Amino acid sequence: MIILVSGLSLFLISFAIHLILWRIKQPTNSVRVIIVIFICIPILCLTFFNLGYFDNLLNSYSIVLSLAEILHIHLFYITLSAIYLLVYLGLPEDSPSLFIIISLSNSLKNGLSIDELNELITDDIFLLPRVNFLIDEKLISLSNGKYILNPKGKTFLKTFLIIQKIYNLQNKAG
Amino acid sequence: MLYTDIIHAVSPILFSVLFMLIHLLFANVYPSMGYFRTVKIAFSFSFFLQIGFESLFVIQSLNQLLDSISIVIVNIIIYCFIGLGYFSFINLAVSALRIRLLTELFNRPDGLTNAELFKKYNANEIVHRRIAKLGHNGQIINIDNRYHVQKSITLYMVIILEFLRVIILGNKIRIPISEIIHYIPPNIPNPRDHDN
Repeated sequence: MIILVSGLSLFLISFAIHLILWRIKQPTNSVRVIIVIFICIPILCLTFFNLGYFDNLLNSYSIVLSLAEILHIHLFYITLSAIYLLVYLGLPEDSPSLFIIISLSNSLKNGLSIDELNELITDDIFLLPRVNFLIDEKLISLSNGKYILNPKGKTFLKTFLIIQKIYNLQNKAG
Repeated sequence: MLYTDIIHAVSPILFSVLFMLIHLLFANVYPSMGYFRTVKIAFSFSFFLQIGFESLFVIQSLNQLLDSISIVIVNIIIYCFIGLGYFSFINLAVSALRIRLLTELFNRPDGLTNAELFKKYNANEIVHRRIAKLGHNGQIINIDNRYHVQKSITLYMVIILEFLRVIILGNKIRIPISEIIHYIPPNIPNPRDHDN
C-alpha cells in the first residue's frame, strides 16, 4: 500500500503546488516551470526523509522502506508526472478531432453538416498558429515571403520520418 | 528477495518494451491492419501477459493481499501510462499538423509561400481526414449528411480535458456536460424501416 499512497501523494503535492502557482500567475515558460516543480518535490521529500522528518510518521505505522520500494515509488511518480505533462501540453491548443467532437457536442440534436464544420475549422484557427509556433521555435523561417525549413526543423522532422518508415505509416501526417 | 522485488518494480517497463516490439512486428508483417488496430492488439497481448505475471505475484503473497493488490494496481497504471505515452508519440507521426507542415516544406527545399503551403495542406483536408477517421472509429455518425457525436472514449476524454482546462487554465467550459450525460445518440437508420 505504501507504494501506491506515497507515489500518489508525491504527485498530488506537486500538482497542488503547480495549481496554486498557476492561480496566482501563470508563468510564460509554463512547461519548464512544471518540470522544475515535478523534479524538485520528490528531491525535497527525499531530503526531508533522510533528515528524519518523517521518522515519527514511519515509526507509528512501523514502515521500513526497502530499495525496491523506493525505486517503485519513483517509477510510479515519474510515470504519473510524465503523463500529466503530456496532457498539459495538449491543453492550450485544441486538436482538430477534439474540436470536431466539441462542436458536435454543442449541437447534439441537429448535428452539423460538413459545410458547417468547414466554417468552424479554418486555416487561421488551426494552421496559422502552428506555422507561427514553428517560426518561434526556429524550425522554419520566413524569408522573401517564403517559408523555408531550417536545419533544426529538418533534424526534428527526420525523427518522425524514420518512425513513419519503420512503422509502415502513411507518409503524410495530418 | 531484493532482486525479485526490483524485477517486479520494473516489470511494467519490460512489458511495455514487449508491447512496443510486438507493435513494430505487427506493423511490418500486417501493414493492411492499420496503425490503430496493430497498437490495440499489441497493447492487449502484453497487458494480458502483465496481468498473468501480476496474478502469480498475488498468489505468492496471499498473506499480504491488500499490499499485493495495491502493487498490482501501481504496475497496471505504470504499464497503461507508458503505453499511452508511446501511442501519443507515434501518433504525432500519424496526425500532427506541425509534422505535416514540416513535411510539405521538406519536399520543397526552395520554400513555399503562405498561399502555396495552404494549397497543399489546409483546413478542408483536415476536416475531411478527421471526419473519416472519427466516423471509421465509431466516434461520430453521419445521418442525412449531418454528423452526430456518439458516446465514445473520445467524448469522455473531451469532458476530462475540458475539466482540466477549467481547473488549471481557468478557462470557461465549452460543452453542455449534463446534456451529454443524458444524451442518447442516434442510430444509423435501417433501410428496412423505410421499406415497411
